[in-house]
Amino acid sequence: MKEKEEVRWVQVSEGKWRRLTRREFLKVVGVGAAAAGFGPFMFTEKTAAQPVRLRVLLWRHFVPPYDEWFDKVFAPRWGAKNGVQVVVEHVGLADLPAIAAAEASRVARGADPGHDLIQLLSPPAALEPQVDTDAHREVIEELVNNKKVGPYIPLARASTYNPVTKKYFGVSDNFVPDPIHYRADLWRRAAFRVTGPERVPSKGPVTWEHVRLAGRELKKLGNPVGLGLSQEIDTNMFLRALMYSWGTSEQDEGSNVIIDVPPYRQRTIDALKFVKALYEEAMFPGVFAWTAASNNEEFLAGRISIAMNAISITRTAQALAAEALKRGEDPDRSPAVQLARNTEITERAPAGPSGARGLEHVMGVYIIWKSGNRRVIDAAKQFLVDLILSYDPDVATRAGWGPGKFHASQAYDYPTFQNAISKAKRLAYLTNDPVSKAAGDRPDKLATIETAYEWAYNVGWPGPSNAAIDEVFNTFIIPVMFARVAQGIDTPERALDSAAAEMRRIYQKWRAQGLVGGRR
Amino acid sequence: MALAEPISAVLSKGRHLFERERVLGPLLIAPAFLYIVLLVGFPFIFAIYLSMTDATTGNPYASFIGLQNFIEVVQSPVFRRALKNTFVFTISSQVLVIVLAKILALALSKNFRGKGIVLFLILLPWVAPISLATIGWLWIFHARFSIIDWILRAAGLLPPNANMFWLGRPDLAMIAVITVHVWRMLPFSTVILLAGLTSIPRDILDQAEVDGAGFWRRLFQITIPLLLPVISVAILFGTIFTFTDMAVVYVLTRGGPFDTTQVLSSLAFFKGIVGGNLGVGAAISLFLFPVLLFVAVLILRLARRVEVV
Repeated sequence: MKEKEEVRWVQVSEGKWRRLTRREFLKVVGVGAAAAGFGPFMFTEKTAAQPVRLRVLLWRHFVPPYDEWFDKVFAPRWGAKNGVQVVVEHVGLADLPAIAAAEASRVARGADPGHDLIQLLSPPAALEPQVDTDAHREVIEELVNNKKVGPYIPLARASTYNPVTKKYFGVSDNFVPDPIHYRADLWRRAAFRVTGPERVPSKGPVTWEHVRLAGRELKKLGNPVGLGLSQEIDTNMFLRALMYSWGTSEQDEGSNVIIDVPPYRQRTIDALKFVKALYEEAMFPGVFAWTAASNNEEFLAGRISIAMNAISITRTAQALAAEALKRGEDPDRSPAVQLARNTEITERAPAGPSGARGLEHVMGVYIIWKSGNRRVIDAAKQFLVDLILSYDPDVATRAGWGPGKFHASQAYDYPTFQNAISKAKRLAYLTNDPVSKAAGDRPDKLATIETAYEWAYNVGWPGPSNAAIDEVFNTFIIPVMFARVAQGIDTPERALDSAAAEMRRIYQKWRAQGLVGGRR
Repeated sequence: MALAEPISAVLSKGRHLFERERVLGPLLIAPAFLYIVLLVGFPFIFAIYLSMTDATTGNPYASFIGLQNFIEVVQSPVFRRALKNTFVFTISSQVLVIVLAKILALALSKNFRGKGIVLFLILLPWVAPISLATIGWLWIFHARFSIIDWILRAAGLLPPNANMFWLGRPDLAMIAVITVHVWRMLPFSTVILLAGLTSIPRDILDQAEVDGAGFWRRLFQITIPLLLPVISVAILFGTIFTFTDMAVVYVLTRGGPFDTTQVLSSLAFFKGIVGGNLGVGAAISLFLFPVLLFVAVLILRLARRVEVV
């Protein structure tokens, strides 16, 4: 019985079979096993023909329909068209730097990083040794020279190009304008209450001084100003915008630390004193526990009257209003519709003594790891080129991934390749905004964000966003300096000296690595 | 039969081999030894290597710079603040944990209806993933929607629409961080002390009771002295867990407001990983080692001295 079970059959000709001896059977099995073992070496051509897998990591977008479009339309359809299996993963924006850092060390070891393409939200200059700078340059050149969708705006170049090594450590696909959001109804009431020699315009703040003066009244009305003084990204952006408007910065064009060097020293001290006054007169202790979500939470809960944020506050207010209208609420009485209508943005960044300078709310920068896998790197390059070309709704529709990046993000992602979507098409969308209309809101409410090209500057302005700036940014040295002064723990002079000393230690280290220029 | 003999001989030889202490001992300890070498020893040596280089996240294999990172770290006021905070958080939370765990253990050593459910609820914080639980606490301490504020307002202790801003004020943020640590470590210490309590011979306590010793006398002169070795173990583990934990600070405050809740482990993470300065991050994390070594040796010696044989 046992013998019978071990018998195997072999076909000798069509319709004719004979039994296989034990010896023959072992031979067949042995050859099969050997073939399986050496398979990877024997069938390389077949393996090479298998589809490439492109693993993309990006943040959970503040405008959820964008993720919906990216995950369900663009990525899978692009993958099908190009024979690439695209795997998309989203994480919270605060987790991106740590994940990228961990993957960089894997690339350095020659191991698989885990993702092939990562979108970061601040310039990742420190990762330059592990990213494929040639691939980045080729993507930029392809878009500017061949696809003619440039220029690659100065803000993007300063955020992705290292003038010391003359390499691109990333490719920026977008920046997000960061205007002041204010409650128009409350602002009018506050502006009316501001008396004395200095007046405040009733149509929203134009200067930081307006924010302070009206903010004082807004706080009395129970709706204080909500600008973070905490260890998070919005605070980093707001305080740098304020410093730039005061004519001071962390570094000069040559990456020398100037924050405490005359004449910038006095300007920094003035900026510190202004923020202390702004906090004491117009803000509340919650700004020291600010998170990336606080702007939206506090504004939409009707608690604060002013925030500095991307247009996601407006968009969320409009989404709530559209839902209320769908439920049949009366637009003139619906609190959601009223909130959306009363949510306004400033035309430009508020001006300080030295001008009206702002930053981007986030700076979208993609990096391709130097993994050595040519097919994956080529796929990543093509993916980026097509993603950026998809800003144009006509291009996107023709390619089958409509409505495209600009419309899908509801104008949140602004192109760093300035003509990826032409100005005419941008304004056509923004002056007849379907999202605003669906919310019963003014259809051209957000048209002014187009001016951001004129007033948005990079982190580290007037110098480049280098590795030292990256560390200063991610370890929150500027927010801590301002917060300690605002709380009265340090004098402006002491806080500045402490921050400047910390910054110099950081700069020195990165200069020794050959990634940052300057001497001081 | 011919085959069976050699097999039984080999087995018998093997049995003799295992009966030898010099063979069995190392064999039994080998898995633990391997675990420590691979998962503790290697990262520790790698951290020492990193701390003496100018390694960054972009360039982890960099040049030797001696003790420069340590000198830089010591000069930083943020590091000094983090070092102080690490001690403040650990000592405060451990004192609270031991006192509360003792009370809980005493209560749980009695039999009562629903004891199983109470035990389950007490153990929950220990089994819940710390990052997830801390996000829950994030809402409890939320600037606007804090449930504690809501209770305080309902009790008339806080004016309407007012908030405490738990995570926005340095003193309250410290209290918040300590509270979460206590909440998290309490179950572990309670279970250890409960086990210790059940191991105290009943006749000693009965004898003391017969001799007229009241509750407090029995507690301070019998129970606590007999529990000291167990308490030492609870303190040792609690100290190490709290000292090396960064999840609570990272999720709750990210070191804020203005670095006032920064601890060594969170600062090492921010500097080394997020800031990209691996060498400095490794140097900061290594400051934990001599302190923890000292604490561990001290507590273990204390435990041995007070052990009742």
